[in-house]
Amino acid sequence: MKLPDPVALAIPAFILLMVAEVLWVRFGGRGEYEWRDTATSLVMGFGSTIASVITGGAVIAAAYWLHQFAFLDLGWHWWVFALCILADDLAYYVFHRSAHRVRWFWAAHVIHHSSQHYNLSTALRQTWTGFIALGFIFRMPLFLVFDPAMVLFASAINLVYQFWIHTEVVGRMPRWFEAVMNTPSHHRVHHATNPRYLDKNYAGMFIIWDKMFGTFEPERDDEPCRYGIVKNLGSFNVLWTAFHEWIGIAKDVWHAPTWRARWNYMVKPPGWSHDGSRDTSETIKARWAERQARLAAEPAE
Amino acid sequence: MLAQTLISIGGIALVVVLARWLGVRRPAASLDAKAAADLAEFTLAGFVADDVVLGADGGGALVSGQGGRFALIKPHGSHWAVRGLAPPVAVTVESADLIVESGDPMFGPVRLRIGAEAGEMLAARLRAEAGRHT
Repeated sequence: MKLPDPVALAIPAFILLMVAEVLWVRFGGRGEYEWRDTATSLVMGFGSTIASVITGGAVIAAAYWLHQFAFLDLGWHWWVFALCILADDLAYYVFHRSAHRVRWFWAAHVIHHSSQHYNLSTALRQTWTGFIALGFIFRMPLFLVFDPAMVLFASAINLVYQFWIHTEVVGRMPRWFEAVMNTPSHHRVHHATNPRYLDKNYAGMFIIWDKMFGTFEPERDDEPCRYGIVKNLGSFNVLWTAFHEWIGIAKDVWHAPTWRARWNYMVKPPGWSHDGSRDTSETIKARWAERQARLAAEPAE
Repeated sequence: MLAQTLISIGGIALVVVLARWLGVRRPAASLDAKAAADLAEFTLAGFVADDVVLGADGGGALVSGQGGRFALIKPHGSHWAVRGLAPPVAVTVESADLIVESGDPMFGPVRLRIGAEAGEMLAARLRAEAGRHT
């Protein structure tokens, strides 16, 4: 079956919505735009589409090769589409969680988090090195069940869905929607560096996975999100943005004292170091919890 | 494909030019000593601020913390970016500016306008501390 490309169809809508958001901010609405940050995000997004064109053929070839070994033929019913979208979203959750917990995957994904702003242009700040990071392997099991065209369509729907949740313009959606779907509020938490919010809300379309697997954290009105990454770039240079974590891995692997440390610098969580001198999200959360406890105890002293 | 590429390039130009032309950029919140200390403590896990050297134009800060740690703060667009520094901290003085090296080429050096005399005094202190750590 020939399916349309949802991303190509959505590009004009992406542009119009960003223009609307800029105007919204200009006339006093909630949100922030910094033109250099936006330029970096959009150039990264454009480069990402070029990278996808270059490497997409290999992924599609792998998908069809794998599909030869499919153990189910579910056909093209509407419920198969629905099931595929759900399964693809679960695969996205696993990918996304891994992308925050394994430095090799993080090296590609960090780009998306490297803006200290949170607006629709941030959604398009995408990696150029996803293929090298092997992010596509997480969807491979789906090709053993669903037609590759259907999976690729579902993943494009997922990508398009995630555009609109990158905004501060929308506060909270209706309660039933917040309970099931990923929303701007849930995803703001995901982009925040506040220790409470670190490594939470990995969902793509459906927030149910975070609730099922214990990674859900609601946005709190008394704790505004501070966006970015633990070690913010301090640069709008797109080359630094695209490659800084890969450079960091290369340096660490080069200087590591043992082969085990070399391996760990690639596969352990971001911030891991062989001598424990750096901070992972666990150590950041632990120190934050200690500080909170100390502050809570102070008035009683 | 060509149409999609042209629409994308046009869209990027439109949004960036509009964002710049409309002046929607908000300046970074002003940085006083307390804000600098809070920022350093928020950004660097376990950092406890002791002393703050603030650029006169609010253009950055060097925060010294317990345990010989430092936090270097510079403006980045509408926000502030922070780097943790371990001694020895490399500094130079240039007219009225103290230039603090971050040791990270992506982050770059930070120029703090604190006056020539204060700059020389602080540089001497940091060099003396650096001497103890080498």
